[in-house]
Amino acid sequence: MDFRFSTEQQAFQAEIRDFILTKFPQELLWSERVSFSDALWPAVLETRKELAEMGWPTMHWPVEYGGQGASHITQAILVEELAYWGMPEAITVDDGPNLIGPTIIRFGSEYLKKTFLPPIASGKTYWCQGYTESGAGSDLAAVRTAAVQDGNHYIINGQKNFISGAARADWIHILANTNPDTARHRNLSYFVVDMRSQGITLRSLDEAQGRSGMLNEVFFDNVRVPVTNLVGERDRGWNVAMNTLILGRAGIENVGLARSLLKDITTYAKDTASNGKSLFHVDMIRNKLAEMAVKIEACRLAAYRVAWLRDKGLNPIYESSMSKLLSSEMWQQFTDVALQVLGHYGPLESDSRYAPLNGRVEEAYMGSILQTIYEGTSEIQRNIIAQRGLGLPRK
Amino acid sequence: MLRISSRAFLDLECPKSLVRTMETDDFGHSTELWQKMASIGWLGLPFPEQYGGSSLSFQDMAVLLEEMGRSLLPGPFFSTVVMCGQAILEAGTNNQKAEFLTKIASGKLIMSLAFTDHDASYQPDAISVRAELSGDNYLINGTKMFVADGQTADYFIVVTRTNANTNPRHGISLLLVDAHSHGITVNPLRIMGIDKQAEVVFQNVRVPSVNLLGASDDGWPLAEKLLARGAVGKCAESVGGAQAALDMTINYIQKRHAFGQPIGSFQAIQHHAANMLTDVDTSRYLMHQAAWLVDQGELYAPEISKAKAWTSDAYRRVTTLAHQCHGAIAFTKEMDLHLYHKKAKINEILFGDASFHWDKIAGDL
Repeated sequence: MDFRFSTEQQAFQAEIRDFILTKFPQELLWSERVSFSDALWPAVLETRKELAEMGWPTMHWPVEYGGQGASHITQAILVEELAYWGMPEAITVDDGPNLIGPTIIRFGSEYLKKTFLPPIASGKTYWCQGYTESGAGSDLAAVRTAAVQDGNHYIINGQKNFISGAARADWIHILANTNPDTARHRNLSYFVVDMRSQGITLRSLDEAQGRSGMLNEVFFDNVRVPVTNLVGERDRGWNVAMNTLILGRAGIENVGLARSLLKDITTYAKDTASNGKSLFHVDMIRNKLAEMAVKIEACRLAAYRVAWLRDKGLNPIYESSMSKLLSSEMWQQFTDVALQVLGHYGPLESDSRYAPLNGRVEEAYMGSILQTIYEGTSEIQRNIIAQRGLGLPRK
Repeated sequence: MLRISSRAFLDLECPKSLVRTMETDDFGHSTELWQKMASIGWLGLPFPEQYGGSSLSFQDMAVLLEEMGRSLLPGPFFSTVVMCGQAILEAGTNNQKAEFLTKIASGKLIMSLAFTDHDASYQPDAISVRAELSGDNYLINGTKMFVADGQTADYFIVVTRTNANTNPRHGISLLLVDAHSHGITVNPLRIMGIDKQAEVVFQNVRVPSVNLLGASDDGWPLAEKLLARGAVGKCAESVGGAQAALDMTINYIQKRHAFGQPIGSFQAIQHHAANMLTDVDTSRYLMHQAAWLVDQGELYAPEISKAKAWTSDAYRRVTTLAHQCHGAIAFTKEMDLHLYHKKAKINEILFGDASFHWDKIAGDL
C-alpha cells in the first residue's frame, strides 16, 4: 500500500485547484451561509454544470451510466479539494452523484436508471434526501409518512423535517410507510418524487449559524407518485435507505475544510502578536494546533480507508460510521480551538471589517453543532461501530 | 503469514505466566526464550543475509512488533534489534556491522541505547554526558537515565557530548561501549510493568575511538533517526497491545451479565467499545503510514510524529476504558489488563509523548 498520492492523482489535484481558482465564480468561495440565496444560487447552478461537463462529480460511476469508472480514492480527492478551497456544501455534498445515483445504480429498475442517471451526470438535476421526520430521526424506522397504492400510483401523505436543500431541489428521495400493519423495518418503501408535484409545500427553517434556505420542512398532501418511481422492492425500502445512508457518511469534506483552516489559522497566529510575542509561540496555542494537525491526519486516513475499501468492492459499514464520527467531532473541536486563537475577534460576523478570515470561523463553529447530529448522530454512529464493527448484540 | 507464525510462536513461548514472572524479575529477560528467538531467526530479521539476517522491511517488522505488543513480550528485543541493531546497520562501519550484527543475530549479544540524561529529554541540548577524545580513546563521564534494558545489556550505544558547541545539535557523538568496561555502574530503576530501565553511571570509562558509531560531533541526525524509528516501533507495539485490550474487553462484556443481560448490550458500554475501536483503528493506520515512511527513508516526516502523538494517548485511552468496562475484577492481578495499562503509560513516554511530538509538528506548520 502506498501512502502518498500517485503522480496522476497529484496532477488531478492540481487540475481541480486550477479550475477552482480560475474558472470558478470567486464570490462562491466561503459562501456557505448565503449559498442557497437567490443572489448566489444561479452561480451555484452554473458551477455545478461546469463541474459536470468535466465529468468530475460522477467520475466514480461506471462508464455505462455516464461515469468515468474512476476509483473512489480519486473521487475522494475531488471532494477534499473542493472543500479545501471553500466550495459550499451545495457543491461538495451533492446528493445526486453521491447518494441517489449510486443507490439507483445498485437497486433501481432499468427505467429509473435511464430516466434519472443521465441528468445527474450532466449536472441538470439537484436532489435532496427526505428521510427524517419530527418523530423519526435517530429512530428512522418510525417513519409515519404514508404511501397508499392507487392503481399505477402511490398517494403520499405526511411531513418530513430538516430536509437539506429541499427548496432548491428538483427531486427528493424519500422513505414512506407502505405497510402500517407489518413489523418495523419491513414496512417502508423508497421512492423518488418530483418536487414540483402537486401537493408538496415547504416551510423554510433558518439555521442558528445564519444560513437560510437550506433546511426545510416538506409537507406531502395527497401527492401522486407513479409506481415506477419505487426504488427496490415495496416494503423493503429500509435496506435500500441504509445503503444510501452509508454512502453519505464520508467525512472527507471535513478533512478538506480542516486542512484549509489549519493553514489559515496558523498563518493568523504567526502574524498576530499579543503581549509582545506571536500567538503561535504561546505554548497553549501551538500545542492545540499541533494536536489538531494530528487529529486531522487520523480523520484523513479514516476517510480514505472508506474509499479504499469501496475500491476493493467491499461495503465499509462501520468504517463509514467511524469516519463520519471522527471528522464531525474533530470539526467541532477544531472550530472551537480556532475561535480560542482568535479570542475577542472570533465571534465577529463576516460583515465586520475586523472579522478575521472573513468571519469564516464563527460560522463554522456554529455550523459544526449540526454535524454530530445529521446523517446519524454520534450516538447512532457509535452504536453501529459497536454492533457492526465489534459484533456486540443489537437490542 | 508473518503475523500468523509470530502469533503462534508467542502464544506458545510467551504465555502470560512468563510475563508475570518477568514483571517482578530483576532482569526481565528469559535466556531460554532469547535463544529460541535466535534459533527461529528473529534476532537478525532486519539485517542483510551476510550478517545472519533476512532483510525484513520495517513495515514487516511492525507486524512482528504488533504481535510482541499483543503478547507483552518481555526482554531486550526492542533495545537490541530495533534500536541498536538498526542503528549499527545504518551508520556502522563494515567492521562494526560484521562484529555486532552477526552476534546479535545469533543471540550472543544484548544491546541497549543510553540516550537520556537526568533531564529525561529527547532534545539535543539535554545531552550532557561528556566523552573526551584523548589519544586513541574516549573518556566518558556522566550519568544516563532510564536506559531501557540497561540491566541485561552487554553493550551500550551511548549518546554523548564530544564538543560543547554553542549549537546544541552539534558536538554529539554516538559511541559503542562495552557494558563491562571499568568505571561503569548499572543501577536498576524499579518502574511499573514489564519494562526494565536502569541508571548507568560512567566514571572515566575508556572507549577505543574505533567504537565511534557514525560521524564524530555530528551524531545528532543519526540520534534523531533512532528516535523516529523507536517512536514508530513503539506505535506498532502499542497497536498490538491496544487491540489485545479491546479483544479482552469485547470477550468480557459479552459474557458478563447484569440486570439480566450481557453488559455488552448496554449502550453506555457499547459506546466505550466504539471509542476503543476508533482509537485502535486510527492508531493502526497512522502507524502503517509511519512504518511505510521509515521504509522510504523519510524518518523526519511529520507523519511519524503524528503517529506517535496519537498512539501515545490512544493506547492509554483504550486500556483506561478497558478497565472501566471490566469493573473491579480487572484491577486485581489475577487478570492481565493491568499489565497493558502499565505498558501503555511506558510506551507513551518512550521516544516522546504527545506534547513532545506536538512541538515537533508545530515546527512544521
